Amino acid sequence: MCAPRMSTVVVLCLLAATAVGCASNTAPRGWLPSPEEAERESYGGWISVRCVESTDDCVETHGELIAVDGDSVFVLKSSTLRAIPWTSVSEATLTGYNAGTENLVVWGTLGTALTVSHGYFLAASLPIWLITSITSAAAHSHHPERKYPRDNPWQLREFARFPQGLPEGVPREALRPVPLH
Amino acid sequence: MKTVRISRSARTTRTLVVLLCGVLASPGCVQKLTREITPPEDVAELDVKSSFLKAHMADGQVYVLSDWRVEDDTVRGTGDLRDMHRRVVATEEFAFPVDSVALFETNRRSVSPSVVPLTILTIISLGATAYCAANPKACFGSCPTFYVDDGKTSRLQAEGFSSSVSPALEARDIDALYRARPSGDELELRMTNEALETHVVRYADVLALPRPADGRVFATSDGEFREAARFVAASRCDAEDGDCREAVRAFDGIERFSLADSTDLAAREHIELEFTTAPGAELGLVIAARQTLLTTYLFYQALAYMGESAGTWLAALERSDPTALQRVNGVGEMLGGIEVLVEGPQGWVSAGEIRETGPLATDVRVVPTGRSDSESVRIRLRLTRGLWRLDWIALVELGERVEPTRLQPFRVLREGEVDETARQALLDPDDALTTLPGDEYTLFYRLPEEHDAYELFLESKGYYLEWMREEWLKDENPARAAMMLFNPGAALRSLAPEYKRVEPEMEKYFWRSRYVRP
Repeated sequence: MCAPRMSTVVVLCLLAATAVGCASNTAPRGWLPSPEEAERESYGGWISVRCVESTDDCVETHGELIAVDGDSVFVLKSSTLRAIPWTSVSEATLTGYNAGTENLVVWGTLGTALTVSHGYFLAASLPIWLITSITSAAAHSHHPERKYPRDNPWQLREFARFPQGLPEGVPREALRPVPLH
Repeated sequence: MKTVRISRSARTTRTLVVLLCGVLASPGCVQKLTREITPPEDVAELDVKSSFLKAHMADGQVYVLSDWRVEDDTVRGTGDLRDMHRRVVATEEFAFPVDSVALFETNRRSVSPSVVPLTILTIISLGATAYCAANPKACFGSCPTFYVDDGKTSRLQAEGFSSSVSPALEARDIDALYRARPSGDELELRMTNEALETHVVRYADVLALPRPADGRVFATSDGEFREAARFVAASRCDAEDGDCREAVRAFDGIERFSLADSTDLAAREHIELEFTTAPGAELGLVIAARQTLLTTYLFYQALAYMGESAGTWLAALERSDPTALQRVNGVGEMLGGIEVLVEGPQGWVSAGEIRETGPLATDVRVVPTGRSDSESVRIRLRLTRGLWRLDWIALVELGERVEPTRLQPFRVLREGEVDETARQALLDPDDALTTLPGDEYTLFYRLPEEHDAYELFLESKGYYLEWMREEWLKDENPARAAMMLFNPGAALRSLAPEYKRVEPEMEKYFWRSRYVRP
């Protein structure tokens, strides 16, 4: 394949990757359960909360989603439970489980590498593999994701430790965090 | 002959195939989870296919039950009771009333829909890899290729010295740039090496010839250039497979072709043509054609038969006399070109032949057929079955012989940078420009004034060296290599069944995968 066409393909694919974008999260490595583990366990997902502005009520927080109600989102960070009013939240991103997107990335990489064996097919198969694997990985990575305000607070509760809401009597300073997987 | 074994590449491919098959066999490793939250009053809607049921209690405890069921407003199941910290409080068979539960949670794992396109792509891709591994002669190969703007896009318009497969066979080649449409007084020609080959280009000059106001200029097989006007389409075009008039009416990419004979790859077919024209004029038959993949297959098969000894065979060729060189081209001679026969008072008389090797670019040539005293001219084409793709056939009235003005590149770019060394190599008769796979040069020519009024041709000279592929080595067979050299007729009969097995797929895969257009 001639160089200009190849570079065009690469640029297009990078643009596609940029445009589509894989979901990302700030959870510590190994923190999020696999889909199989999430079936059995009963912790909350990982949530990142950004504030309209940093105040005593709201500072940027990352941790386990404990509960949501109509007024607040409850996040456990380093054994400390924080209640953040929705009115102070500009954006919150919840990741319910580890989608295993890296498996698709490996798959796409292997498939893309294999196109070297396609001879003239390479001109078609390489960009098809790049675009398909990037868009597939991006789409898959968003499955476990919920975003506020795109999604309403009640849609976030399904991946809360207490989807029924924060129980009365929960010791705010003594909740145990998720042990690392 | 450069004998490059790409065994590392083959091993890498095998490894990738194994890994990809492993991935394909375990799509379950890419799963999604669908979670449902159900209030107790909707307990009848619980997803009974969920492996686990979680019952969240108002005090923050949760039951995680497997083998669960709901009977008579009671939840039963085996599992754990966990406190608000998610420590296991008890593990046993539980039973508790539905209305004691704050919320139920069910989960369903399934294969991610994102896997579907990748699975399909993987199956197709493994198929392509398997096909190319089994038929490497269908998936690789080109000659030096030349692209020129046709007014809309950069189009492949010529492939240079396609039959010059060794230094001893270095030859000059003239290709019509029939669809070139330079936008100014400079012609930009892109020369590429798109295969596993080494190209040695002695020169690449453009020939410019004044075009008649109402006609065009064509090259003959003798290297002459003739003016031509009054194009007439065939009123009859009959082949064994039926009427071919529509396919050859215009130079439009719609081609007439046939399949090779199943017992003899050199078997001929006839195409009967008839034209109506004014008597008395000197006539010529214009043919725009290119080859199928038959010659590519045979060339690669010959290299495969030579195997590890290909270098030795071709070195011997370099040392041999002209008679031996003719023998090397024995297969090509057996296959022949497109022979043009004209019906006259003494029957069918050969008017000439067109031979242009290569399956990529369609070349346009004229065969002078003499004067006709009749309004009806009958012409017969005799050609090897399955060897030619005919795009356009027309009868023309021939005009004057014209002499070309030779144009040499005044600027050469490589990857956008001026490459004066490359230009000098193309200008120096004792030097040559050597290109490797992936190389691309852009050559610029200064056209005469009124550039629109000129017909352009490319004259190139050189040779190329095919790189050996590891996949070919398993076919090594010195006896069959010798048969291709010393008894080409028998070789073409012997190879017919094997070629017929791959012919339909070979054409389909090669041209579907092409990134050049005729």
